[in-house]
Order: sequence, then structure tokens, then C-alpha cells
Amino acid sequence: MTKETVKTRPARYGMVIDLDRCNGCGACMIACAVENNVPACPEGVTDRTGITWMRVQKLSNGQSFPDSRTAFIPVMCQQCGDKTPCVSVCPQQAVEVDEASGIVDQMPQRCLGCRYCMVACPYHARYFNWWDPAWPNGMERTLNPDVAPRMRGVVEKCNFCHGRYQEARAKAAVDGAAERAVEYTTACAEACPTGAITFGDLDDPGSEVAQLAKSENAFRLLEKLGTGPKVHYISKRAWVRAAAGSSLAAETREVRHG
Amino acid sequence: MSLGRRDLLKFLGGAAAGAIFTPVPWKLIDDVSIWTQNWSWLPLVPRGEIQSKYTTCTLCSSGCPVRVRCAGAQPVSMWGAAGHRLCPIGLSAHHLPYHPGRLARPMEHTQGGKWQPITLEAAVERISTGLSGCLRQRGSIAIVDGRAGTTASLLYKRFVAQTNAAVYIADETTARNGIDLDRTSTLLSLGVPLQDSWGEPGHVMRLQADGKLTVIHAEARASATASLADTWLPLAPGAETAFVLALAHVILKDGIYDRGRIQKAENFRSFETLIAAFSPERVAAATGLAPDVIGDVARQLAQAGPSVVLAESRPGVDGADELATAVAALNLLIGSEGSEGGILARPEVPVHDSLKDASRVPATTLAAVPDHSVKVLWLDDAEIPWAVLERKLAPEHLVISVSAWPTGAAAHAGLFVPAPLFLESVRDAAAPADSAAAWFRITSPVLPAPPESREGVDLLSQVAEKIGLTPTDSLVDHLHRRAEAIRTAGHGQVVSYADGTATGIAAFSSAEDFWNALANGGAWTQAASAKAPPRLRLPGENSSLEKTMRTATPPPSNPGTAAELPLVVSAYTGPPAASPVLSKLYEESGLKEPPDTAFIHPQTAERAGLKPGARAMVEAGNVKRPVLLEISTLVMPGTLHVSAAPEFHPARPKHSIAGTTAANGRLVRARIWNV
Amino acid sequence: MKHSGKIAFAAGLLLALHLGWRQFPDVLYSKADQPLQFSHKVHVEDSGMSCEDCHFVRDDGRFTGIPPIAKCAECHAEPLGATPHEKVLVEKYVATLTEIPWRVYSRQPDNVYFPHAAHVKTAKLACESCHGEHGKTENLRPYEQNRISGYSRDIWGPSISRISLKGERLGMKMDDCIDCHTEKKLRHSCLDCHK
Repeated sequence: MTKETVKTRPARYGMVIDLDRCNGCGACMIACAVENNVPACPEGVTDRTGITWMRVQKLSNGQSFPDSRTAFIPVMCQQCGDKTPCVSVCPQQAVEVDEASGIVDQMPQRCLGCRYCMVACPYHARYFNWWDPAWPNGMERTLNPDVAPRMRGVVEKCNFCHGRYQEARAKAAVDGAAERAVEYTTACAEACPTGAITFGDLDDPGSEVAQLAKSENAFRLLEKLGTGPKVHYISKRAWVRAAAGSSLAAETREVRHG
Repeated sequence: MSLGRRDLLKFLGGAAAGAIFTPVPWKLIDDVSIWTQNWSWLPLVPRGEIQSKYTTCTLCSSGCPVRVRCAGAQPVSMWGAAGHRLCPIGLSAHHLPYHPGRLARPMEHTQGGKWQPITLEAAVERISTGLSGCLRQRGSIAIVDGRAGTTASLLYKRFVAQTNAAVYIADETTARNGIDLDRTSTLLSLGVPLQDSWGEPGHVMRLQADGKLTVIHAEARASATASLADTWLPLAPGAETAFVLALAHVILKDGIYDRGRIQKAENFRSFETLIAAFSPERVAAATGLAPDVIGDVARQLAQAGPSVVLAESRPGVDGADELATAVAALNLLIGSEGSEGGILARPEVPVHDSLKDASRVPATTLAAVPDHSVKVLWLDDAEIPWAVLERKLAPEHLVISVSAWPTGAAAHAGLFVPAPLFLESVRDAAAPADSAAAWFRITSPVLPAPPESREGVDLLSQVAEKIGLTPTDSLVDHLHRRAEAIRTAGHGQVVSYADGTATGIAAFSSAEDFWNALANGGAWTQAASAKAPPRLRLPGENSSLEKTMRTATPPPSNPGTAAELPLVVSAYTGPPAASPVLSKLYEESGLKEPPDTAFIHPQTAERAGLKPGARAMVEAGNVKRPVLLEISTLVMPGTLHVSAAPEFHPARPKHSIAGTTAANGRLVRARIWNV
Repeated sequence: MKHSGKIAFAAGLLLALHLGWRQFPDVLYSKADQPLQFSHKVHVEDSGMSCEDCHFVRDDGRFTGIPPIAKCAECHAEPLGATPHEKVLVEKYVATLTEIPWRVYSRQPDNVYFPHAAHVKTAKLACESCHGEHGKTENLRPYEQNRISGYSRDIWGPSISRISLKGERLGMKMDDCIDCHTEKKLRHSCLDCHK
């Protein structure tokens, strides 16, 4: 018989992003990078080799002026719940789905850098450390103490701000909150100036996130693959919802820094 | 006993056998494997007790309350406080002290266009020499203040009052008036990036999402603001003024305005005559908008109030004044001046007696300064395009820039003196555009400032003493005095950053109490009240608006290969520097338009014979700039959209497209060709 | 000589054993004194303080660890005794509120997350179960650091063989955590203890 390390009810954390509220400012991206110690880039990094746990993509409705419209969609690890492609391919067991939280955990110290998971991920949400992390000019003094910097040669991705989850569990241990699921929020949700991101326990029917995920305009990315993402999106615009079913347009853009 | 080779081998064999039974190989395997996972050159995270400190962000005039999360004394992240959220630049502002582009020492521009470090004493000496040479020449010294309405502004004004030779240049519109946005119902924006860098982050979107605000946005491009507006009007560039006057035309014709009040306004009859020429039918071609659409917008503004019309202010840019005049007239007509949910006069923040005289010194606009007249130009955090400033300079001149960044106009300064960042200084924030209340919010330092950095006014005081003028006390002293003046005036309340609660000012019994409440995270504020403006004045027939109809022409539908296209420039509007991590994220996500890129509609590119995805040259007036040409279905056919780079590096050519462009008002045309 | 080969072998064997067991630890670990001496005994026994006065779990679940200099300053604004170390504390650190650069014996690497709250509050473990009798020491022993991994010697444990005949506490390696958790039949994911 086993029991869990912290005696709290298991949760299934999920997120709902209202795309009609997203103005593409990028606050979520920088809040994520600051929270999770994502480094600035060395010379020569491209949009393919750089690390962006959370990447706000631009969507276009494909029409021409004046019918053209832009929308923005923040894409990060979709925290697949059913068939998790990255877990099934990892030869190192460096990826696992945490039973207590439903979070797809990536363990950098176990990763051997084969990048099989990056190929398997249909959401392009995994990033490889092609370089040692480096911050210019003493900026490493500003690192978040709750998250360790990763090293060259390993894969990393969004883990729903696991450092914050750990802190919330520690607080729950002090409060003696045994029966409730641990409550916390991610850096992107805390930062979003328009309140487009809602985070919480999808298993708690009373939670805002569970109710929003059930709304009629809610959808998930590439639902046809059956990966069961725990990140949901909402948009009243039909063309935005339609874009979610199609694969991301082939990345022809290549941006080189420096 | 003789030891042979065999014995030596046996000795080694014994040693090897023995080593297996010692911890050496096993421990080394363990340690080396740990080493491979923890390379010593990887940065370590800071350690220290986690605590929160509060301050105010002064990167823009929004002055957001900030909670700085610190590990020990080290800031490790920044968050909005008291219900506010921060913009991306604010969220990473704790990176800025370590920005590689920051200059922390005074610098001098050499002839070759390179920066060369000098001592602060030498900088003060050079400024003193420059200033004392023109103290008797009226208007030869110009001080451009990028943070109008702050306590530092009063100290600049005090200097100007002392000398006669100096003029104080600032845009005080926002300092005097604010938009009572929380109570506005309809907002018409003429190209203002409401969703991007205007007002408190997320403010407009939250009001829209709550169904309190309807946004009508006019722009020649399907930008983020356009795509998220309730109504987007694809307005041709250069026709903004004509469009605004056509709205006024409909409102007058339909009689949907406060007749009793407006008809008493100065110039009313003359304005009516002027407006008569701007019927929706007549401006339809130039604006690219159907007469019905213009009529509907006009009626919505007049009837779904409170309404506000908003246009971007571009100081010193040709044609911007005409648009400002037209917008002011329209706001008057729809009754937004001085009414709830409209544009309100901000209550004055009390001033200590020692600066009362200074507060009456008027601000001048850059347009009012004669060309080639300025001998000493002092820039304090001013974000005015260099091309605009350059016109005002006399042949022999000294440009001094006090800023944290050698960017924008500061890149062209002869002398650069670093200013501390807001995380390193005590200063007050300017007033936000999207609130009409009076505010007094100060920053508390969480990091030490570089030893050779100075607040602009403190540097000027040092110089003033040297050239025989009365020096002022430090900015910090004046902030203390102002806080005391506010406390004794007895109006308003203090909103705590920690929990968002408001405390009436009467609760603060001493100067120290009040100061501590502000310094430990608190904003003093006093709500504005609706008050009709004392004098209503409309522009008449013989105003500069009269020629608007002639200059507004539609974009060419079939541009030839050498055609000049109407130019739309999205100038860099944020603070000149952002965290390198943020720049990286923007580049990798492709979220923000890369600088120095021209966008053109595919149809226009084809007709004009332009090759997209290649280098090109843009020429507008006497300014040329190399760009990367991209096609985009988001831009209006027949127009050219350029995203202009902040002039970060002083080695870049001394040209700025933004400086010569009137994106508002007068049409500027540009030529583009592949190179 | 007939046995010279055996003697050479035995000599090699003995030398290797001696070097491996006696000399190796001294070579592997560098030693450094703490910036200041500190007596837990004086603070606990003589001044009647408890561990929790300085090392406690905050309401937000964080463990304070080694207290900041401000905590020392609460009592030591002026010297209370006459030891030279206290004089240094007051003059060099308290007067300027400079943090003391302690070398932390139990410092785990950055990628380890150890919640004191869960162990002390939920599992009710005593401090001694991991930190031994550190709270009763009179002096701070020199800090020993592994020259290869950079870890404190306490992570590996005092015995270089990690074998204890008395069955006492060994160290603070991941194996030690796992042993205890396995004994208590606890289940975890990697990121329960890693960050």
C-alpha cells in the first residue's frame, strides 16, 4: 500500500485562455521566462533553437484587407491527459504524468537529450538547450530561487509553474489543509493584464476553470489526436476556433538573433 | 634484496586490487556523475529570505504599483500590486540594471561618433561652459522634459524662471487633463495603440470585456487594436483630420449636440461654415469610408455617450497640430470636455510654497521654438524623434541627455549623463492618461544607483551653482516637502499597494507617517470632478483646418513602379530599452513587428514591381532608410507601412523616418525600391 | 628472494588501502573555516532559546533557514559578551547589516527542493533526524567541500564508506531521502523533490 507524499486530494490542474481577451502583449511570455529562469539568448539563436516555454503565436484569418484580422494564441505545453506522446517515447523515463496534479513533469537531470519527445509533441511545446544558459552582465543575480537553471543538452518545457505548486503544497502543509486540493496559480495567469488566463483544478466542478472549460465556445488544440490536453481555449470568433483543428502552419519563418 | 620489474608489477597489481576495496573508485564515479549534472559554470540561484517590497513603476506615465519579490535584498521578479497588472517591460524591469546596453558612466561623443567615458566633474564643467555662454541670449537654452507634471518638472521650471535664456518644453496635455475612462461608454481612437502601449496595461480590454466600453478604432492596418475593436474603420492614412471634421459635419447637420451650450461657443458660426465642406460624401473617397459608416460613427459618438475621441500626440510632427485642433473641436461638440466619462481637468497636486512661482511657468511646444535657434539642448528622458529636434539646433550647439539609455535622441547627444533607473531612485511618477484623478506616487529604491548617475534636476542644480545661479535642494528634499504640502492641504486619500485599501488623508498625523505610507507602497490620489470648461472655443474658417480638404487624397489604386505611397510609420512607443529576455521572446515568437521592416499589400507589391522578402530602401522627404520588405494582407493596398527601429546604436545613420512623418494629419509619401 | 613478489603485492595492497581510506578524504575535500564562530550551545542552553526562535517555517510555508543578519541584530546591536567573534559580528556585520557569508553544511544543490514544512509540520520529524546534534555544538566545525562536485561533505555523510555499523544517519544524498520515504511507503513523482 502506498500513500502520497502530501495528504491532499489529487487535482487535475488545467487552464482556460480566452483568446478574445488576448491582445498579444506578451506579458505571459516574460512572466513565464522570469518565473522559470529561461535565459536570454546567445548570438545566433533562431526561433527554432531558442527557448520560449510560452509562445504567443499570431493567427491570421487568411482574408485580405479590409477583411483581414489578427488573433493571438499563447501556446505552451498542453499538459496532455490521455495519450501523452512525450511520455510514451521517452527512453529515459524523464517525463511522467504526476498523479497528484496531472502535470506532465519533465525531469532535466534525467534527460539524455535525444529530443525524441520534441518530435513526438504535436504542439511544438518542447525546447532543447542548445547552449549553456547564460545571462548577460550579472543578470543571473535576478534568477528565481525556486527554479533551477537547466544545462546544455536537455529538453525543457512548461510544467504549470511547478515551483509555485511546490510552494503552495508547503503552505498547505502549514495550514493543515488536508482535504482540499492545493490552490495556486501560474505566473502567466497572474501576469496577464487582461485576465485572459484562468488556472485551477478541472476536477473541482465549482472552480472557474472547470466551468469555463465547458462553455460552448471552448476548444482544445488538435483535439482529433486524442491527446486530451488540459489547456482549453475560448473564442467567439469561428475562424479562430477553426484554426485550432489544423496543424500549425509550416514554420517558414526563421529569425536569427544578433 | 633486489627488486625486479616483476616486483614492481606485483606492487602495482596489489595497489590496484587494494584500490577496489577502498572508496576511491566508487566515490569518484559518484562525484563525477554529479559534476556532469551540475556544471560549475552554470549560474546559481540567489539565496535569501523571500520578501516583498513595494514601489512605483515610472517607465511610462501609467505609474503602476509594483510588488518587487526579493530574495534577500535582490529583486527576482516584479508584479502588479493593488489589483493592477504590469506590461511586459514592467514585468522584466528588474533585469534593466543589468542590461548590456545601459551606460552607467557619463559619456562624451567624439568627432568620430563614438562614445568616450568622461568623469562626472568633467561633464558638469562642460555643461557649465556651454550654459554660461548663452545665459544672456533669449531662447538659446531648451529643456525638454519627457516626464511632464512631476516634481522634477517644477524644478526645471524654476531654473527656466531664473535665467530668461531658457525655455521649458514639455507636452503637458496629460498632466493637465485626463480621460475619465472608467465611466466612458464610447471611445473613438485615431490610430492610438489602445491594446499595445496606451494607458494602464489591460485597462481598455477589461472595460470592453465587461461591456462597459465600446471601442471604435480607425487605422490603415488590421493591427491588434483594430482586430479587437468593436468597430474597425480602415481609414486611409492622411485623411484623419478630414474624417474627424466629417463626423462634426454629421453631428451639426443632425443637430445631435447640446445646442444651448455649443452655439454660444466662440467661432460657432465660422466653424459651421468650415465644416459645411466636409460632408461624408465629399470625404468618402479620401478616407476610404462609405458615407453611411461615417454617419453611423458620428451618431454613435453623439448619442451613445459619454464619448471621447482620442488621437496620438506626436510632438513636433508636421500636421499633428491640425488633427489635434479638429479632435478638440469634435470632443467639444460631443460634450466630452469637462463631463463625466469624458476629458476632465485633473485636480492639482498641492505644491510647497518654495515652488509655487515655478509651477506657473508655462510649457512651450517644440513647434513654437524657431528653427536653428537652440544652442544648448537639455533632454531628460525625452522621446522625441531626433530629426524633429535637429531642426531646432543652432549650427554651434551642445546637446545634453540625462537618461538611463543612450537610445533615441540621446544617441545623438554630445554629452550623456546616466540617470538612475526607477528601481534605484526616489522620484515621483507622471499622471496617467486613462485616469482623470490627481496622483502623487513615489518610487522607493530597491537597488543602489550607479555612483556616477544623477537625476536630471540634481545635475542641473549642480551646474546652476557653478554658473552663479541659485542651486535648488535635491529632488528627494522637494519630494518630502511636496508630500507635506499634500498632507496639510488635507484632500484625497492614500491607496495601499499591499492590499488596495484606501485611507483618508486625515489619518496621517505627521509628515513622517505620510511619507512612509507613500514610500512603503502607497499612492495619494484625489478624484476629478466634472466641471464645464470656462470658455468654449471652436476653430473657425480661417484656421489651419481650412486646407485639410485639399491635402487629403486617396491612396493610389494602381501605383506604378516609381510611385510614391502614403507612408504609415509605427514608431517605437515604449521605453527605449527592454530586458534582453523580453527582446528575445519577441523575436522568437514573431509577436512584435521587427524593426526596420516595411510592409506592403501583395497586390501593391505586384503592381509596383517590388520583390518581397528582400532588402529595400525607403525614402521620405530627405530621409532614407534601409528596410526589409515584407508583404502583408493586414495593410491597406496602396500604402506603405514601416516599423521604425529605436535608434539604439549611435553608429546608426542619423536619420529617423518617424521624425519626418505625419502619420496623423498631413500626408507624407514615400518611395520604396529594392536594393 | 623467494617471497619478494608477494611482499611487493602486499605492500601495494596496503598502501592503496591506506591511501584510499585515510588520505583520499583529505584530498577530495577542501576545508574552510566559517567566517565567524557561533555556539548553538550558548544560544540554546545558556540563553534559553529554542531552535524555532531562529529556524522556523513561515506562514507561507517557506523555511527561514539560517536567519538573516537583521535577526542577529535584534539581540546583538551591542556586544552582550566579551568574545572576539561577537565583536566581529557586531562591528563587521550588524553595524552595516551585511549578511554573514555562512558556509552551509546541509546546502543542497539548486535542483533539489526540500520542503521543511512537509517534514516538520506534516511528518513531525525532529530536526535531529537529519541535522544530528548540530543544535548542541559549541563550535562550528570547518566546512568541507567536495572538490569535484562542489557539494558539502554532509551530503555524502561523515563516513567516507557510507557504511555505519551502528546504523546511524549517513548523509543527505538522494538515496537517503529515498530510503526513508520507501520505509514510510511514500510515493512520489520526480518533481516532488526536484525543481
